[in-house]
Parts: sequence; C-alpha cells; structure tokens
Amino acid sequence: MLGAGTEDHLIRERRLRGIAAALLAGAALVASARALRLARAGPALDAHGERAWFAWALQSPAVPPLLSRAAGELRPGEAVWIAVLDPSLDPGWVRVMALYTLSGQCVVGAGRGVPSSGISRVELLPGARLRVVRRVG
Amino acid sequence: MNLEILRFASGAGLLVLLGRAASRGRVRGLDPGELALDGAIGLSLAAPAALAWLVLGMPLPPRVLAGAEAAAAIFLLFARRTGRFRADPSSAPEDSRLAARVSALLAFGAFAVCVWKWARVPLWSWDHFAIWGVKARRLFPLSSLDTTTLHSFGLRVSNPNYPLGLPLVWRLLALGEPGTGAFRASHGLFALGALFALRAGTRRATGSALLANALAGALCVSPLFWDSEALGLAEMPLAFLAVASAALLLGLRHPPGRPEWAAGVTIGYLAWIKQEGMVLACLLLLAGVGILLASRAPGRLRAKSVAALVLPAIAVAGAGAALWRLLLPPGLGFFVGDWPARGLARLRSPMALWKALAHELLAGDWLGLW
Repeated sequence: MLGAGTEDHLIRERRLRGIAAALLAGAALVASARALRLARAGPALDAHGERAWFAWALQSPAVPPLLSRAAGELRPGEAVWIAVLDPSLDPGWVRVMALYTLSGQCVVGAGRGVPSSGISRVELLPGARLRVVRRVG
Repeated sequence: MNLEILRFASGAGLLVLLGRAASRGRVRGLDPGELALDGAIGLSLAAPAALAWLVLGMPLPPRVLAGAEAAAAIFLLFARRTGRFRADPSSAPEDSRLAARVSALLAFGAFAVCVWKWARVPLWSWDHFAIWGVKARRLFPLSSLDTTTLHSFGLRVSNPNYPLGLPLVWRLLALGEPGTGAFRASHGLFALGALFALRAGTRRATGSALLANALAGALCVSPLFWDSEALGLAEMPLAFLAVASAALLLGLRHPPGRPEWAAGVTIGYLAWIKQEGMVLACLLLLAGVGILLASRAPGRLRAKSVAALVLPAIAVAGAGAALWRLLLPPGLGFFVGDWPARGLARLRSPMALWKALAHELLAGDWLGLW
C-alpha cells in the first residue's frame, strides 16, 4: 500500500520521464533528418543566420586564401596597402578580411587606387588573381 | 596543422587541469561533466591572471604560459589535499541503465551531426572577422598586449569597447595565435562543454539521466548549435560558462562539493566574454544566493557561503570592468539609458513583451526546422 505522498512522487516521476522521452524523440527526429540531408546534399546553410548573412559576410570566398598567400611574401610588421583592383570586390569588406588575415602585417588601408607613397601593396586583380608589390629601398 | 592540434589539446588540457587542481584538490575521476566544470573554472582563473601579467607589460610566450599553468596546477594539486568531492550526489529517480544509455547515445548522435556540419562549412561570420577573431589575432603581437590599434581608425568597425575575455581565452587554448583550426576546435570544445555541463547540472537538479540526456539532445538541435553563424563568435562560450556556472551553483546544494568561490569566478568571468554576460552574471548570482540562503546550514555558515560566492564574482567582474575602462576606448556602455523606466514600461504592458518573445522563439527558422 503506497502513501499519498509516494503516489504523487511516482506520478511526478512518470510525467518527468514522459517529457524527457518526448523531448529526446523530437531531438532524435530532427537530428536524423539533418544527418540524412547532410549525407545526401552537404551543408545547405539555410539556418536563420546563414540565410540572412552568409552571402554578404563571405561575399568572395577566394579573397581570404589569396590574402593568406600574400602574407607569406611580406615581412612581419611590414606596412601594406591593399589595392582592390577587381571592381567586383567591396574595398571595405576587403579591408576587414585583410586586417584579419594579414595579422602579422600593418594593414594601413584598402581602396581602389594605388598610393603614390611607394608603400608595399597587395593587389587584388580580376579573376581572383593576386600581385604583391614590395616597397623598393 | 598537427602542431596546431597538439597545441590546442595542450592548452585545453592545462585549463582543465588548473580548474580541477584549484577547486577539487586531489580527487580522481574523469566524469565528462566534472571535466567541463574544471575547464570553466580553469579558464576563469587563468585568463584574468594572464591579462594582469600582460597589462604589467610582461610578455607571455606560449612556453611560459603553459609552464605557468602547469606549475600552478601542480602546486594547487599538492597544496589542497583536503575536501573530498562527491561526484554525483543526487538521490532522485534513477532511470534504468538501458534508458540512460540509449538516451545518451541519441544525445551524442545529435551532437555528432553538428560536428559533421561544423567540419564542412567555412568559418564565415562577419562578426568573427571584424570583431572577435581579429582581436585574438592582432592584439597580442609577440605574446604581449597591444591595444593601441583599438584606439586607431583601423579597427573602428570592431566594437573596440567590447570586453577582451574571449580573444584572450582563444589565445590560452591555442597557446599562441589562433588559426582557423583553433577557432573551430574551440567552438566544438565549448559546445561539448555546454553539453556536459547541462547534463551534470540536470542530473544534480533532478537525478534523472534520461532528462539530462533529453535536454542535451534538445540543446544539440537548437539554432545555437546548428546555425554555423555562431562559429567563431561569443555566444557558444557564453552559453558554456553560463551553463557551467548554473551546474556549479546546483552543486552547492549538496555539500561537500566544490567550493563556492569556484561558481563565483565562473559567474564573474561571464562579464569578460560579452557585455550581455553581466546580466547573466547578475541573474546567476541572485540564484546562487537564493540556493545558499535556502540551505539548512546555521546562519553564520550561510552568510560565509554567500560571501564566498559573491565576493569572487564581484572581484572578477569588477576587475574586468576596471581593466576595460583602462585599456579600451570608450563606447556605448551596456547599461546606458534609463533602465528602471524601461523595465517599468515593460512591466506595465507585459503582453507586448511576451508577444515579441513568442514571435522570436516560435518562428520556424529559429527552431532550426528548415
């Protein structure tokens, strides 16, 4: 014979287990559907933030690797200007990518033009090409 | 790449070791939930110490950092012989072993799907490149601290007044300048830490392994885990520290466990990660004080426990606030504006707030259901 308190406790426990099982089943269902989709088509990048920002945030995926390559040709601490000669690229976006990628260099700025000061520059050219022009002297 | 992984593993291992040594004494055992809490405590202790060292103008190369962490851990391990720790003090419903195992398998299956996605998507968030990641890579040249670029035109889009706790933690984990691999690994580690801390906390609160695994599974299908925008941002570390702090607070209900100060420092470090962390810290601190006051301990002991929780939290958060004031350019403060009036306005029309919350939380994409 169970006391009223024990019975209540058992009911509460059963309810808790029911909620847990439902939650787990839902999570397993969603995860399975996602896994199947990943296996079939790869990551779709259509979650909330991905839909809203991915295309803008990584507007030219070729640029960060290009800048990484340029880092290998520059001295640590070297001042460098990023000449954005590819009209499809946004200089503001490129400047942020350069600050991030060329962390060992002093990125003085990025823009369409080439400064006359003779500072070293990384030129981003149309067709995802790159040219590093070192300061002479 | 292999060297980067090795350094990352060493950095993470040292933080866990430091957290364990400082808060548990010579207790063995590799329960993942406890290891996650060790990690939270370790980083909350090591990062402020590292920043204090750097602010004094002394360089902190990876070897010195690793050596200092290891030496501190060894010292604390031998200095704190007392304090037996009861790993899982819950007495509530024990689920069947099969249910516990199957539910754990499902939860970790859901986590594995996230890892699979993280491994296949690029690191792409604008806020990572412009704010968080760039600071981790640029503000610590030659293993020193240089915040002058934050005062210049160069990083004007980087929210230069944001706390530096996360970039610093990334440096500690990577034992140097973090690359793409370290940022990804950190994300995975913080996610795993949040998962284990949530399980540990739920088991402490309810004693149910099934419920603990169910909540862990739900966390893994949440947008925080599934949306790759969070890769390299502060939300996951903030979630990890908040959940770990909550689990540590729940542990205070079952003494003898970890000391109160351990929860205090992790709560205080929340404010170092993000400005929003200050609100979380206040809420957790209130909850912690409530837990301690509700205990059956004598009044004087309770007051001592409350002080042991609150003072370290205020010290860590306050030290951070003072350092940011000293080091960073002024920006729009998080607490700017008439908070009491705004709070009152929301209290007067609660339905508007609930509607806005429901709209956000119940939108299909936020639930992660494409």
